[in-house]
Amino acid sequence: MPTNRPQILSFLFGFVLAATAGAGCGDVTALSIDSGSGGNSGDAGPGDVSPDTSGGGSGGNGSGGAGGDNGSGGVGGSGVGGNGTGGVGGSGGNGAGGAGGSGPVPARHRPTAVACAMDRPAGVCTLPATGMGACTADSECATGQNGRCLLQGRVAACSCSYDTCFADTDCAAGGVCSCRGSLGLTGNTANVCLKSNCRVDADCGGRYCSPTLDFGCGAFIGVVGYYCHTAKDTCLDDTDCASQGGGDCRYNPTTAAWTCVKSTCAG
Amino acid sequence: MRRLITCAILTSAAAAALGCDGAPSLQPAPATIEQRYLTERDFRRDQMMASLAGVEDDYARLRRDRYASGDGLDWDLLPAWNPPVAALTTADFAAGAVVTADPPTDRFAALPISDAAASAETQALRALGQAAFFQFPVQLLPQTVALTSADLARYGLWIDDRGGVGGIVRAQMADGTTRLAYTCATCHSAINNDSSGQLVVGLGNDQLDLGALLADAAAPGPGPAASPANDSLLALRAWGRGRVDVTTAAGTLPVRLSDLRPTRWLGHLHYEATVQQRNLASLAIRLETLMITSHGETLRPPRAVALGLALFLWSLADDLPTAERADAVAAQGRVVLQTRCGQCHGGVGLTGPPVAADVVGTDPAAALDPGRGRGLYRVPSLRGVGRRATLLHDGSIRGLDDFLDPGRAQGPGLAAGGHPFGLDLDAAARASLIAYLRGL
Repeated sequence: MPTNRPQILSFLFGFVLAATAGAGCGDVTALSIDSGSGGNSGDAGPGDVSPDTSGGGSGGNGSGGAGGDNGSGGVGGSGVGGNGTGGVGGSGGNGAGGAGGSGPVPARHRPTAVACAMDRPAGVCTLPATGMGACTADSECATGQNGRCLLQGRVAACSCSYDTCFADTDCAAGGVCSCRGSLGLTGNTANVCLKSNCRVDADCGGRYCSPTLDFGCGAFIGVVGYYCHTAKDTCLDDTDCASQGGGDCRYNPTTAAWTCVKSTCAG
Repeated sequence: MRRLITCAILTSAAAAALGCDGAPSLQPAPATIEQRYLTERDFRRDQMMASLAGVEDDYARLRRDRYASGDGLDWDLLPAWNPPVAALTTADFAAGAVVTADPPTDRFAALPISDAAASAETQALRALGQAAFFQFPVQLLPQTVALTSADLARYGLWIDDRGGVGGIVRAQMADGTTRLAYTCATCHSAINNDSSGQLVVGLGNDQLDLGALLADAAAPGPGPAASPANDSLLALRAWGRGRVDVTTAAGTLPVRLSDLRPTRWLGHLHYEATVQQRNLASLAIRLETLMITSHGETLRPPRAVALGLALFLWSLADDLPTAERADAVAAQGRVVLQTRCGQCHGGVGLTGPPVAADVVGTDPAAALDPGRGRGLYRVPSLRGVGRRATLLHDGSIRGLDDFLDPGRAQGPGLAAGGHPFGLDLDAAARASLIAYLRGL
């Protein structure tokens, strides 16, 4: 995590912290593009560390050894890097449900879907009402659900904000419903559908479904989607990026894999 | 006779290793820089090393570690990426359409890299470079970007006379999705500020408000509340038109979108003079590595694309006005330039070696940043300066009149904005100098 971007950590919250940093997930700093690095045997398994805080559980936390060497409490090999088959499932996580993946567990993943609260605080906005969707009070925001009159958008003006979902099933094309407050922005944000190729870990064929910041220039804030970890990943968590020149771990659509990236603009 | 014919064939082929009757061997034609860049890793490595300014900034360190390094971290191992793309046109915005990454058409096509371009034929490479300038996805736009026709003016995305829009393309991703991306032309082309409305290719887009576009895409909700996220948004919005931060992830060092037209004459690349432009390979490597890093070091452009872009950029200088001037006032201005400015802005390109930041007196932040800085600023070429809406590396002064206005020298310390040189010219000399510069 680059020192000049401490905000990133604070953006990503509300997700399962399946393991405390460094413990349980083993050393994933030696990841490569082409071949799985397995993991370090002998590390404490994820089941030994911080329990699931969401109540969903991640039942399949891997504990296999390096390169498919089952047993001995190491880090599973199949989560990142490809060819390892380790990962003896089922030892970690509290709570029921949540079909977890095998191998190293990302710090942020989604074992279960989350339903958003139906209520929403009242809107507050004191600027003049100008532009599209302009409003002066919540009562004027009646064309959608939970309409609130807020200071938002591209110009400094009050306009209506609506919840577009309350559960994943409200989102088209397998999208994930991101609840109020989970985008890393403070305030009375709306529930919004995010793009994804997974909704929960169980959609990822033994790997994990994690939130990602955007990939590219200026992706400074906010989770923009959920994507499965893959065999081609070169990182699992932001902490892996320190040894890869910095940046943070994001889903990269150009390669359909998770990689460390810095969000500076090309030039 | 038969021997003569044989010798003639060998000679004309210029590729023979052996001569006739013990004559000195005919050597193969030496490979050109273009050919060597495309085919020789060691050559590229040597050229890259020679182009770095020899300091330990982050930019240099990364390239030393990864570019043609020959080890497992070598960027040569990355896959070459030439995705199918479709350039946005005004038709995409018809009838109030909201343009997102989702593709409405099947008109995607990858850049065609001909055999001639792949074998370093100059014209073919330049044509490829011109196409790449408008079509190769240099960096992805935020996934959440949604543009209406009203946004084009809001963000300063140009529309050219062929209906192209801001150099924005849709590009097909490896995971089957589509993303909007910007190209070289997004930042480095602008509508002419005269009445013609023509697109000036290579000129920095002084209207582009990329920071606002990025901030809007990143901020679906309320903004003013204090938080690290909103601090980041404020940094983006502070860029303003015609500026972008290409150095820090925090977005706190915006610089002016540069005018690429005089690139051929520049001895150094980047405002911070980080890269020596020794030859065409220097520029091609600089472009190649730019695109590698802007895609997270997960892929690289085809080298023919990087080389073609370099050739195309060099060709832009051909369209700049001559430095000669016939009219009397401008001719006098040229004399003023040569006598008062020529120490730094000399030669055919009206440029020169880098200058210490504390000498030029502009904001030193970029020159001192560990990302690229080494305490220097490149001396810009004045060729083409007449069309630049803002001046200095950070775009802090608008136009030549303000730049040479002695009024900005009032107050303590250095002149506001720095670069105090020329502020002491008398009115006649100043007027003639401005007249001359406007014509460049």
